[in-house]
Amino acid sequence: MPNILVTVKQVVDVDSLKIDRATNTITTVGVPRKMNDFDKNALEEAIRIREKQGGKVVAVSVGQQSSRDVLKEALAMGADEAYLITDQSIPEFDSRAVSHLISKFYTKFGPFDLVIMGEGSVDHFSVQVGPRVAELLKLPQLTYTRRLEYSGDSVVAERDLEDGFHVVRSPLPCVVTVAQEINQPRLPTLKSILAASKKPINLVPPSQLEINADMLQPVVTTKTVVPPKTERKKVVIDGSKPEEAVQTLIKHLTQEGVI
Amino acid sequence: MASQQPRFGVVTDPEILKRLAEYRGVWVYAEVDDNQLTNVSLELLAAARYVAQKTKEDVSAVLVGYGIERFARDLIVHGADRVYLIQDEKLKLYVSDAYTEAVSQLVLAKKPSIFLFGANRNARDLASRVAGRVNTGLAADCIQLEVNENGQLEQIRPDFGGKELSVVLTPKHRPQLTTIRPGSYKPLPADYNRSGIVESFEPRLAEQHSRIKVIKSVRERLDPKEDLEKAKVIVAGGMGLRNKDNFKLLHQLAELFEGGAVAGTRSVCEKGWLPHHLQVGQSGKTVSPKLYFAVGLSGAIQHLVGMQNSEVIVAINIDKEAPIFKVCTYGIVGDLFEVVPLLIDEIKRVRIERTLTKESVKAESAGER
Repeated sequence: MPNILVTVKQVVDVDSLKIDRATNTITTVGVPRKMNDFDKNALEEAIRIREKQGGKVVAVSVGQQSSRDVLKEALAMGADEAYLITDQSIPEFDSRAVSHLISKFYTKFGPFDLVIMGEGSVDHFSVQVGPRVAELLKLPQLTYTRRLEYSGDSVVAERDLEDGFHVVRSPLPCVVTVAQEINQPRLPTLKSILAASKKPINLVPPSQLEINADMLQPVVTTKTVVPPKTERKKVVIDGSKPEEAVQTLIKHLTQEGVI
Repeated sequence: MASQQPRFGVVTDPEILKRLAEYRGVWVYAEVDDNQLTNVSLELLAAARYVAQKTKEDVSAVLVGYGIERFARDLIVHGADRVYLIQDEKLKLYVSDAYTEAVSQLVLAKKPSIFLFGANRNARDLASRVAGRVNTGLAADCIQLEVNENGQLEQIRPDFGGKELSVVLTPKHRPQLTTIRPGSYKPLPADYNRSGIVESFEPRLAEQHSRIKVIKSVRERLDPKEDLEKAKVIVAGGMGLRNKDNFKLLHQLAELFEGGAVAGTRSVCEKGWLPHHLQVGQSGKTVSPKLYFAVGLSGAIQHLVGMQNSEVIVAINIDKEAPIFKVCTYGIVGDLFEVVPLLIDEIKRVRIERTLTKESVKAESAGER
């Protein structure tokens, strides 16, 4: 019976973000947060495997205390256990640091048969934590999976590529990252939400995970500043008289040689 | 307090600087798929040449696969000074284990400063795992590269779902690994006078490097009308279209052009008004057609990053404050349901007139004889 680890991340709701044009920065303070969309697909896939095969689904998150909310949601969806790796001294980890924390968690709380993750996160979309975790654990990785079949000793995955797909087989344990097409995540029911509220969120400080200082050092630094380049003519025509406006546009496009 | 903050990404520790200086050269990952060099491989060479001219380094391409030596010349004429050729039967199809091992061995042996990959799925898969193996940073899905005054690679990418762009530096680790979205750079024209070195590299690949077996590799050919990356004219719609049915209007406009295609924003594709493979923007395709119609879409940055390299952008939107008007070449502030049908009629009329004029010119010159 498989023991499945699923990672979930709390992300800011990017649609609610506001940019401060004076400083050209994005404020994430006070912005609503939610579970990363791809992680719901990962959870759904893990729960479906458990429903068929038995076993256990363990949800783990790396983040601030507020990440308890997404772990509650994971439990309400059907995860059996929830763990939050959190450290108030470090507000945000980069992809490499998160990968170290998850892989150390895997080692300490395992053995697991399968790790299922979203292909990326909707906030930064760095699309690399899955492969980095797989690398640290020396496990095979199956990324961009849109169909997954579990059998006792291996998985077969259909990997979605831009102009086709690969069907691949991997021994267990392995790391699978899923694309949104893989399934339609279930919505928690009132009953499952109530049941989840009685389950604990287990806190795991990084100090419990044989982490050294270098592992948490960022390898990249990011500055959010650049407005998109705009070097176009920006001839904007008033369309209150549509016929005339279209005539004017046609003249311009003829001059450009594009019609 | 503020003065004690280190400046963004600046490294002063002489030990680290000495270590970083051992890494030289700009590399690109050249990918062969379906017996062809992928277009993004050539785009990466254009990006690499731009960077290398600023860092005063050479450009090398890393060509991986089996039976692929004939592509080395293509890489040289498109900008590579050197091609590292890695061939092995185990590398016939892409599998992360064997590819990571082969590429990482070369990286550790030759120590490049910068290594660019395409942001297509297999190359992202590879770049991420190589980043883990050689312990460095990776900036994913970049759309532009610059070099700052300290010689660091500025990796520019959409962030926060495309709300804004970010500059990413990899200050203390090498190589600086980057994946670049297909369509962000145009390949340099082939220069057949260019010469370069082809150097074979034989990785040591053991049994543990082929745990994953590819059972089946299937190609799904795109309908040419849906191949946005090759389309010459794209008519893109946003939520202003109001429903799925109204996209017929955009199809009518697109059909007037050879190589015309219809596309949509993220919201439109999430609503199911268009299939996901027709989405332009950060989580969709990056396109650069000659002519891009942005119809009933506001121009969120996550959309703009996918189409801002288009040559001529025509915006049609009822809201004069829509950000799309700040990036367009021409725009009409008006009701798309009035403007687009008129535009279709006018283009048809202009075309007919043009044909008639040509014919009357022919007839006149014939009459003069």
